[in-house]
Amino acid sequence: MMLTSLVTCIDSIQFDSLDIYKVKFNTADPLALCNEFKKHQACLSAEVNVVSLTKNSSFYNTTSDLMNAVSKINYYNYQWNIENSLYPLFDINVLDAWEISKGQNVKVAIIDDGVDLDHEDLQANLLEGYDVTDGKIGGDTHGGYIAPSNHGTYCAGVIGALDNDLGVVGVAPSAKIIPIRKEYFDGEYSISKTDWIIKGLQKAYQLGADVISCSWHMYDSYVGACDLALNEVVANGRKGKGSVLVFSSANINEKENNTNHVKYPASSIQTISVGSIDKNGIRSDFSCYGIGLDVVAPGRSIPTTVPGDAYQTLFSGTSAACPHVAGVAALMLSVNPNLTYDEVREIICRTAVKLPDYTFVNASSSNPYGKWNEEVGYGLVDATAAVFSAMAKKNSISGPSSICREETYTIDGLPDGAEVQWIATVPRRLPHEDPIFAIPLLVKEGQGTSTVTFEQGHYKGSIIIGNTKPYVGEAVISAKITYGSASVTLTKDVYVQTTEHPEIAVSLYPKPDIDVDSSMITHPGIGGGSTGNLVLSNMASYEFSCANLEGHEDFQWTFVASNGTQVKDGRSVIVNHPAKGTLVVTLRHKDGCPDAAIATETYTVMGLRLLATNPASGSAEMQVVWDATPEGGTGAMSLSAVPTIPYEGEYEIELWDLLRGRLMVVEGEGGYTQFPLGGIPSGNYVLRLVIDGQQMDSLPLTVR
Amino acid sequence: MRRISLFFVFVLIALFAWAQVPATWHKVEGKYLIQHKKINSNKISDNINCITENSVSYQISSDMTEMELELLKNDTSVDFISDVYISNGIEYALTNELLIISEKK
Repeated sequence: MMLTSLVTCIDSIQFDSLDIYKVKFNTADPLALCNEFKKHQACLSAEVNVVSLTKNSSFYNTTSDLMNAVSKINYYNYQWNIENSLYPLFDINVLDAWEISKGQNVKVAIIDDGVDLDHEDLQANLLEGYDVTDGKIGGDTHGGYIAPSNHGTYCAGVIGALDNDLGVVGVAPSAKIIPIRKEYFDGEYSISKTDWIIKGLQKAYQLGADVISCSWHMYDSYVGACDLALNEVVANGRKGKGSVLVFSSANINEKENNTNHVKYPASSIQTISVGSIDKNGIRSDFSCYGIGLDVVAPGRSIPTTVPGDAYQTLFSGTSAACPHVAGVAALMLSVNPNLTYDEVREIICRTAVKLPDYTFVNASSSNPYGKWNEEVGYGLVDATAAVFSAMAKKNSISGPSSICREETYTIDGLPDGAEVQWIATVPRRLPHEDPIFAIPLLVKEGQGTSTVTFEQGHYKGSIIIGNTKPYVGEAVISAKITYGSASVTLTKDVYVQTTEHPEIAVSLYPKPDIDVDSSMITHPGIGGGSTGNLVLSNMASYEFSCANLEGHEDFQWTFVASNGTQVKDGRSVIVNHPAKGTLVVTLRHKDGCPDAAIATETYTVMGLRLLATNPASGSAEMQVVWDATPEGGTGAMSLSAVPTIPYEGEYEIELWDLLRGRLMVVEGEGGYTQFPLGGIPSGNYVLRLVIDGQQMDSLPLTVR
Repeated sequence: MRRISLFFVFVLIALFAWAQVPATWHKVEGKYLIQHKKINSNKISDNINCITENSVSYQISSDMTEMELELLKNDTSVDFISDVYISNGIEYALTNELLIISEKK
């Protein structure tokens, strides 16, 4: 079928990754045409454009609602949604949030039937909007309302009425509002279309809306084209962080059966769904509920703006509840514009107040943000808690990740009046014997403030009182920040290092990494551990280990050589071919403070001497001399011909293969002895001089 | 055995069909949406010629008789007439337009 012959393109809507074409068709079977389009690989969806007709769909716009609409007084005392003097638990708790932000630098798009662009209590907050109703139906092209439409002006007042002495005050009175008109009133019906809704979302996105408030629902439980547009806004809005989509859960229509469920798009997983409560904390009887409901907000008898510089006090419906949450989202993004849409949604849900008349059940895969109730979702939106959590997401506890004796930690950017309670605990994952008795860190000073100094705590190895010892290991620093009625807790994982040397004897035993019988030969270059001459060869590998440290497993070795520093963990470690020069070896507990080393030793690394080339032959002339202090009775051996005082007595020179043990013994007398080399295979050797029971080893020698 | 199998297939198909139609649509008898022609300009968008529909207007007629309906169908200013349904508390009508969504290349 040639599809192009059956349709005429009449409009297109462009998103970052989507193109939506509106085409007019000339066929009696549009569903078959849709299926033909869907066969094309690039086609994500094809569906018939739908006109929706809404008549008295909400609980507003009645004559009695406007009884206060003409007198210019301040309606703050009627705004139970802002400050509920009778039942303080059931307002949105926004007063403390306003001490932090009133929504500066945030744009909220209201996709509705337009807003009174000249309203005295809105005008200063209004940005240029847009009319997506195919342009000019009814007149205004900048998102203005067309009388008698007023729903958008109602919603605008709840979100962003100015904080002045006039009329009402919005939840985010410093946020900017982008009015987008997606429907018009024909005298009997509010008329809208699927493509207008999609274009409304596109315009909100293009105009940089951070939050999009939508107090309406659609005719079906899923509209593919709309869902793709929602996805685009969530994925790419706010430069990839996602525009925040807030929808009313919808009102129950008494004329239809089974309509109390949350309607689309509020039911979509891509939106924040808002139901309504009354001033006594009970779900409004009109508020749709069930699967998909996220939170509730005040939605009955809400004072707000009315077109024509007027006000009313009876705006009711989930339409009135939705803008409260949009306003709270604006406050949150004002204090932390880096929050992603998912983070905003999670914070709003997690900080919601659990209403006392409802039983909340544990989180599940479909309700992952805490306890949930079918009628009121995660609970009543809490502006201060949400804003504070948003701010806390930006903040963190700054300070070192390991503590040695004491350290200072700080939280920057807290508002005046915030109080911080610091505590350190043992991570739950650690299998401590008696974790209840462990106090890993103690507050030394600064409790209650944003800067604290912790010092090393202690734990008890058993419940016996007095059997305490300094705490060493993982710890979690928690800072519970309280601001007004809201609180949030920040945590930081740290490690408490040991400050004490263990009471054990430690020696360093570097040895070649070959299996030698230590009862037969001492380790070359090291005459009896740390008391030896501490000379190593650059051609050999050495195993460093520590003895007598049972019960202490976590060691850290630091090797500082002329060519750099190596750090190795373990009870014994291998060092291959240390660089010539000085090698400083330090052993410490891995969790020890830098100044709490167990042992430090300094070695001299020398080049390995060549005994002969392979195959070895002939002989080497050995010269045995007294060293500079012969009175000490200590012999010295040298292969060089730089004698000082020739030794005149008897001695033995032994050749030790580091793998196979002693290979050869040559008896000598006097200062010079010929040592036969023939037949010595390639390998590493040591010559040992034995005089009167005393012995001294040469540097490692090699045949290669 | 075969009858039992067919019965289960039937039940499965019925369940599937039910799950696919979560919203109940009811036709509103005698009510029609009339779309009037007001196409008035052209534009080019992404290499596709599009006729911009600047001022579509809609008319909702209730309790129309068959004769009135026939008269409207012959009216040259009328672009499209569609039945009105109700679902989720909203009355709606299909148009003679499709929304085709494609991935941007």
